[in-house]
Amino acid sequence: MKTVRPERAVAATAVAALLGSTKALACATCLCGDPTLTSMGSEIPFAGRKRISLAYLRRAETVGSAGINQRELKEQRLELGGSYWLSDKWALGARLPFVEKELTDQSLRTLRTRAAGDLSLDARYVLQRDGFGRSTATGLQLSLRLPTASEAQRDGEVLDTDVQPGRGLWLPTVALWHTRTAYPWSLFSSLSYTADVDEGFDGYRFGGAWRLNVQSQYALSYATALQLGANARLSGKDRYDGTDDDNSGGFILMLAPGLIQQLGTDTVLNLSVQIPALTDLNGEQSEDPAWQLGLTHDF
Amino acid sequence: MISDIRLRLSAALCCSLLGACSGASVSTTDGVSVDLWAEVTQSAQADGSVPRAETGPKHVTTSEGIRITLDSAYLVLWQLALKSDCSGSNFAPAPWWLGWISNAYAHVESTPWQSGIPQIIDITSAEGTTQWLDTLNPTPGHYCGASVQIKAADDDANGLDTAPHMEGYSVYLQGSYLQDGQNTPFTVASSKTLFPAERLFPAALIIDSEHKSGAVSFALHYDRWFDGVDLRLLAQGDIPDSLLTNIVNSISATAD
Repeated sequence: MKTVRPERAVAATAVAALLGSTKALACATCLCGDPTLTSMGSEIPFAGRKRISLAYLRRAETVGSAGINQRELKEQRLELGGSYWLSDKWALGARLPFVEKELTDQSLRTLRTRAAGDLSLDARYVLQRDGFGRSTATGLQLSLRLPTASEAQRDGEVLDTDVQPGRGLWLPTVALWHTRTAYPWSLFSSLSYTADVDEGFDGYRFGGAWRLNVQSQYALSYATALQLGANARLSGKDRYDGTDDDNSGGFILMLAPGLIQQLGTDTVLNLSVQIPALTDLNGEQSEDPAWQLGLTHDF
Repeated sequence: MISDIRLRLSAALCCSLLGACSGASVSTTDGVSVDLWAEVTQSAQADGSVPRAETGPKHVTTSEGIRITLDSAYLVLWQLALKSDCSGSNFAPAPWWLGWISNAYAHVESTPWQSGIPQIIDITSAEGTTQWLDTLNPTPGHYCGASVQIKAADDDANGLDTAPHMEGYSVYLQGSYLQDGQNTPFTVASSKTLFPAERLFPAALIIDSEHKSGAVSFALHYDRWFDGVDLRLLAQGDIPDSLLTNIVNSISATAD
């Protein structure tokens, strides 16, 4: 068994914690991955840590049959987040995105919206810590997305659900997470379920979704690290007007290579791209690679 | 460096919070649109001219030389649709044959290529003017033709306010014919669903990102409806199949 000198292990844990803080911007739109990773981090937590984060995401998806009813959605979002570890066990966080969406239908008609999205509140709890230097931790997380975004309308008509900056409903997510650090490696994983408890704007009901997120990271140095993530989602069909949306739900697995660069003692920059690797989505759906850029600063 | 980053993060926080307090900014870019029109008209004369009648009773002479007066006449157009594949056997640059299907009623869905709104057309309206029917938002492409079906009006047909008696009917004709010096009145109505009139455009309608708008006009040549028809059936209150066939055959379509 490989042995690690105590002072080296402590230093490695600290660096890994710093780099790990932004290693998984994952999916700020909750499409895949764990959207809380940027704001709350994936490292072994400690009491009193305050974090502010800014995450940018750019993505596109296409739904429907080409030449018939195809619609393309392009989305950019800038999400501001913050978190605070009340103790070694409890953390609270919040995220607020500013969303820009562009929906083009089969007739080339384009709708654009730009607005603040839904506010999300997160609570993370550490169930267990293990290992020298507390190199592993396991816990629960509860997130609640609030219907804070205003309903986008034009000339008195509610716009399509896909182009709404928010969803117009309360959306709870419960997750089990685990993190492990052994310099230069670290690993974060989470399994979450988002419940379809209510109807959103215009009576649209989103299907419940399971998400599995695994993020690995290898530190090239104390300032630079490479990461590779696997983000899977299995979701049910959406429902509208009493019928299932056949072009919704299904399974998708995305691989997310990325790069992390430390900019200062407490500031980290993260760049990654989610690439669809395995899809079994219902109907006619496809997702383009999603680009993500994140910046965090700890206090 | 760190203070600069803090400043930027604070600025971003302020921007987000300001955004949260405001409503959604919405903008649109128009897409493809194709307007559908109907025109009541007569057939061109030998010299190429087209007679124009004003609003009111229409007078036509059949191929048998019988004088017809239409005091009131209505058609109901359904399923006005653009076609990008005109290889079907029913497509023709000019009408050739059509008949009736049944009295069956089924609601028609609107799609990007098809108007599901039934339209009641008053044949006694002024000629030479077009009546807007609907606007389609199809995909860009080449459209070689269009189709339309005559079918009984349902309770949400356009035009019921001025012709409420058309609900449940596809064709209504009221007038008289002058034969052997005798003027015989008739009033007939049909609820039959006729075979679709599928028409090739003289020139294809091309829609792309540079040419996002277009128009399709359905012309109803009512002056040929009574050619070869046994008018005695009209006097008995029946609509001969030959008349229904003539009505469908009288429709042509052009695109701009």
